[in-house]
Formats: sequence, structure tokens, C-alpha cells
Amino acid sequence: MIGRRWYTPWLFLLPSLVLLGVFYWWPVLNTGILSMTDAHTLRGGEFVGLENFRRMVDDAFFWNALENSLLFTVGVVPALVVLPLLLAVLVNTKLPGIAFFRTVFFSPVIASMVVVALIWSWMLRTDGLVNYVLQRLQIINEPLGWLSDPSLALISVIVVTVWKGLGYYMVIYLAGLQNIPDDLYEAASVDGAGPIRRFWTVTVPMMRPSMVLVGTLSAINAIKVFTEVFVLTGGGPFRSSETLVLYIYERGFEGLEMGYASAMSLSLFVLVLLFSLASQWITRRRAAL
Amino acid sequence: MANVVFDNVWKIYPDGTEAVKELDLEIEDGEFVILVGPSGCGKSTALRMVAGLEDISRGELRIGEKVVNDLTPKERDIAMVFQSYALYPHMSVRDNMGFALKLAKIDKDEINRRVEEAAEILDLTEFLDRKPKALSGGQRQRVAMGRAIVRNPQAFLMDEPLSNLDAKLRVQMRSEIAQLQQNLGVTTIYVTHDQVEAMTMGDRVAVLKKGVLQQAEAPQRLYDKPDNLFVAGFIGSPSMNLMEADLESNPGGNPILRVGEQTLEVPEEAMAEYPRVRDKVGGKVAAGIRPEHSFIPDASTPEGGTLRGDVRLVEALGSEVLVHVATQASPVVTEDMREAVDDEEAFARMEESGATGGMDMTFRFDPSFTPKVGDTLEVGVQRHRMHFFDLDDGQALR
Ligand SMILES: Nc1ncnc2c1ncn2[C@@H]1O[C@H](COP(=O)(O)OP(=O)(O)OP(=O)(O)O)[C@@H](O)[C@H]1O
Ligand SMILES: [Mg+2]
Repeated sequence: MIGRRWYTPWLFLLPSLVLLGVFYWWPVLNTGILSMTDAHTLRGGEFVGLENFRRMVDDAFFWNALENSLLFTVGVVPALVVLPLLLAVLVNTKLPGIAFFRTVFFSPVIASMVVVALIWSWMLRTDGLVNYVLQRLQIINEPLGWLSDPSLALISVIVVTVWKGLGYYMVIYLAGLQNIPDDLYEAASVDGAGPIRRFWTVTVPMMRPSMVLVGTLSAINAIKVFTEVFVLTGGGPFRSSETLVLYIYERGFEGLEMGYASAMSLSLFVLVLLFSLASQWITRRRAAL
Repeated sequence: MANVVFDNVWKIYPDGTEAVKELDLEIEDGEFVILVGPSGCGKSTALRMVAGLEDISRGELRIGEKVVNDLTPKERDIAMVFQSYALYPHMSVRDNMGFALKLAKIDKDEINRRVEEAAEILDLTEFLDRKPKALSGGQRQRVAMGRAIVRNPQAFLMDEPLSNLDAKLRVQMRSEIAQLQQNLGVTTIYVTHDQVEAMTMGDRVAVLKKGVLQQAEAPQRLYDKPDNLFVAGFIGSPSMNLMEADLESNPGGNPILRVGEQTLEVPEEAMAEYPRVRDKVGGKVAAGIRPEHSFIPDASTPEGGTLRGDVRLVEALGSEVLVHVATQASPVVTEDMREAVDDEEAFARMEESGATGGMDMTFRFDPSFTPKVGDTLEVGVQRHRMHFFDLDDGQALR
């Protein structure tokens, strides 16, 4: 080729490499370094080796946060894999006016998480709308402390997160549904399958790649959850809904213990990495079948 | 097994498209009927109405004397082979074939027996535990067939089942399907737009044009006695040479067709077959000659029995040779022909050559005959096998 130099491709890559380097790889590297120091925000740290990681093992609050994060993930992921699929199947029909419902279900996605969480935090107050409606319907007798009762706080956060995520994952599923050939459904009808049977023999197997994708994305998002919890409960009451990122935030920005926070961030990173590897493994095993 | 009856059946899609119009067709128990026609003529729609995949807008559809208009596909007990095969990708060949039986709650041993029997017939035994992805196109096609035959249904419906195969496999499957149908004796409706499939596979061929049934007859009869211009032009490959010609009176003889400077005398046999030709004397008719109804003239060939023209193209096909000759005849360029040609470009070329006078005719000869491009050729016409149609309504002048 004419005038082609070895550095030409690198020139094209340069802008994004610089951005990635400054805002991603440098912080990542820095986190790694910080995690082995006792750095505070207001003073540099001394090298302490693996001391921060040892401290994590003994830190009951860390284990509490990790447990909450995992509970949150276990609560959110199955709901976000299944419910948006059902929703997508419902709005994928050719009924008149169905586009309206598609828009309605998608709208929470474009709303800001902070706004959504604020509105829900009002609705979930002891004297809020949710309690009012449930009492009216005589489902509950006494108002419940959705966000103030330690046994309910995490569940409430899970419900709000699922509600907010439905539309987003529904759209992913809708894209997948468009790719299922009609004649598979028709073949199943001719074979004598009713709507439910068709869902299980055509939709579910054909949507498996989308389901793995949604499972992975929602799991990664769940393990990293922050805004929802921060706005709704702040991690309370009594740390009953405090997740890992929230605890990292607390140590790093309130306790100013950057070294320790970095060490925990690193363990979170490993956790996320494990999730992605697991999902890749599942996908590959599927493909091999 | 059962007969399938279309009784004045219409299909009007929600957007107003009339895909099938007043279709009357009775398919007898065990009969193999082929639906043919140009793209978009409503073949698939008609088939899908039998399957229960499309609602019937008007009229009545009966399977085995039972009106099925409002029955679901499941309740109709029919099997369908799709163009794409529509195999369930995550199921093994065995499960694909047995799926309908499983839904019908037939017991496991019986399912296995029937699947294995079908696999035996279709040469699929060694692939029973594979997924469709790991099969060749031809094998997938056979699995789709197998899925239909294990059911032992009231009727088979097949929508262009061979169109995704290569030519050689298509020839093989063509005869296999025809034979299978004969052995099983299951009523079959088969959609295709392949001429050869239409002519060779079925007991009867039903030709559709723009949703309207044109003629339903045994293949050879359809070929020999087309009811109208469209059927004449559509059935046969290469298709019938159809020209627009003045019909002149001939005192003391049969009428004469004027083809440029030449004439063709209409013989007695043709007059007997197409008596209404006499009414058209002094006007125009559409006259048709099949490519193979030609010969190399000799001294005994009478005046008014040949057509002359320059050789345009010689296609040697091994078993025969097709010679394209530029004659002085004018092509028929009616709506019927546009549909029958089913190729906008080819039709535009016909219109053009019609305007400038002269059309290419195709004749079929023994391969020992090898004219050269540019030669002027005198072609004998088997006039007693000519066809005549009304130019206005396209009907045969019988
Ligand atoms: N869902 C639909 N809505 C509106 N019109 C339709 C619909 N499906 C088919 N049509 C129209 O109905 C007519 C017949 O379609 P059909 O699929 O039966 O044709 P076909 O004979 O099978 O053609 P091909 O040989 O191309 O498969 C066409 O004009 C087509 O555009
Ligand atoms: Mg079709």
C-alpha cells in the first residue's frame, strides 16, 4: 500500500487509548497500588503489604456488606431474567395499540435512577402510597416500614431495582424475539402445541443466548449496585441494606481510608470478573452442544 | 386420511390484499395436488389456510367432510413441511420427529417405533441423535419430511420444500417424495413454482394467477390443452411461443395466420380442436407453438407450414438443442403474459421487440442438428398441434 507507515494505525487508536489510559487503566493501577498502603485522603500512605486484605477478613461490616450484595444479586437477577422476557413476549404481539405499552414499560429506563429512587422512597414511607393502597385493599392491616424495617429494607430495594430494570431488559429480549423465525412457531402449532407449549419449545430455547446476556448484565449491575441503595435507605437501617459499594464508599469517602477502600474495590473487581467468566463459560458450553 | 375441499374460499388480508379469490378445488382422498403459479399468486396463502395458519375470510374449507374454518392447526390433524424446514434447533432429530406424537400423548415405545420406522424409510437412522445444525441441507429436508410422516395425518402440506436444495439433490428428493406419497397414500398439497416439480410429481396441477384458480388438471392434459393464455404461457419450459397474428380468410380452405411476410395455414385438426377460431377470421388471435412442435422441413413440407428467421442463439443441452430464431411474428403482450412470464425485465424485452416487429421463438431439436448463429433458418411447424386463444379475454378458442 502507498505511504503506509507502521504507526498509522496507532495514530487512529491514540485518542481512545489516551482516554482509556487516563480515566480507566491509571485508576485501576492506582487502586491496585493504594490497596497495599494505608493511604488516607489527606495524607499519603506507607506500604503495608497485604494488611488491608487481612483486615477485610476480620471486618464484620465487610462480610455484612458482601452478604447483602450477594442477597441483592440473588434477588434481582432471576427476576430480571424472567419478568422482562414475559413482558417482551406480551408486547411483541401485533395487537392494536401495543406500541403504547412498549413505550410505557420502557419509560422507567430513561428516568434518572436518583429521581426514581426518590419517588419510590416517598411511596414506600410508612405513611406513603404503597402502605395506603395495601391497607385499602386489606392486604395488610398495619402500615409496614418498607424502608425502615431491617427485615424489609433490602427487599424493597430489590423490588425498586427490578421495576426500574424491566424495560431495559425487555428491549434486549424484544430484539431477540424478532430473530425467531415465525415458521418455528407455525411448525409448533401444526405439531399441536398451544401458546404455552410454544413458549417453552420455541421461545425459551431460542432466547437462551439473550437470557445469558441479561443474566450477566443484571448480575454485574447488581453486584455493583449503589445509587438505588444510597438514595432509598442509605444502607440502613442498621446496615441491613448496606451493599459492598456502599461500604466501600463509606470507608473511602467518609472514613477517608483510601487504602482499605481500594483493597475492597479490588475484591469487588475480582467478583465481577468471576461473574463474566462464568457467563462466558456457560455461553461457550451451550455453543458446543 | 381425507379429502380437502375448498368451497368458494377467499382470503383478504387486513390491508385489503385479495390473496385468494373464490377458490373452488376438491382434492380427493390420497390425491397429490400441486399448486403452481408466479410469485405472489397466493399459493402459500391457500396452503396456510388449510393448515390453519391463516384465517379464511370467506367460504368454507372442509377436511374429510368436516368444516375446519374455525379449528386450530392442532385440531385439524395435518402435517406441514416448510420451505425453511423449521426444525427445532435445540432438539435432536429423534425429538424433532417425535414432537407432535409426544404432544398427542402417544406412549414412548410407540413414538420410538414410529420415529425409527420413518428414519429407516428416509435413511436417517444414523442421524437420529444429532441436532439439526449438524446435518446437511438434504438431511434436514428429510427430517422435515420425517416429522410429517410419523404423524400419519389427514393431509400433508408442503410449501416449496425443495427450493433450498441444490439441483441434483432436488431431482433425487423429487422422486423420493413422489414415491413416498404414493406408498403412504396420504392426501398431499404441494406448492412449488418449479415447472419440473409441477409436471412430474403430482396427480393433478392447479394453476393460480393473482389468487384465481385458472385450471386444475392432470399435468399432461394441462400441458396439452391449456384453457387460457396464462396457463399456456406459464406451463412448460422453455415456454410456448405465443404470437399475436392476423387471421385471414382463405376461400376454399381453412383460415390463414399472417406472420409478417409468411403465412401459416390452420389445419383441419386444429380447427376441430379450436372451432371458435372461425369466428375470429378477419381479426387477431393469439397463436401458440410449443418449442418441440417443430421439425426440419424437407421437400414434402407444404407451403404455409414453416416460419423463417435468423438464428439468434443455439443452446446445446446435450440431450436436445434449443434454437432461438428471430421471426417476423409479434409477441403477445397482454396482462396474462406479463403474469405468465413473471419477470419484469424479460417482459419489457418482449414489449420492445413487439413494438419493433419480430419476436424470438424457441424451437427444440435433436442435438444432431447444429445451426450456426446468423444462419437463416426455415423451421417446420407442427400446425395441427398449435393453440389458439382470444386476445381480449385470453380464453382458448375451443
Ligand atoms: N400478511 C400479509 N398481509 C398482506 N398481504 C399479504 C400477506 N401475506 C401475503 N400477502 C400478499 O398476498 C399475496 C399472495 O401471497 P403468497 O405468499 O400466498 O404468494 P405465493 O404464491 O406463495 O408467492 P411465492 O411464490 O413468492 O411464495 C401476495 O400479493 C402477498 O403480497
Ligand atoms: Mg409462497
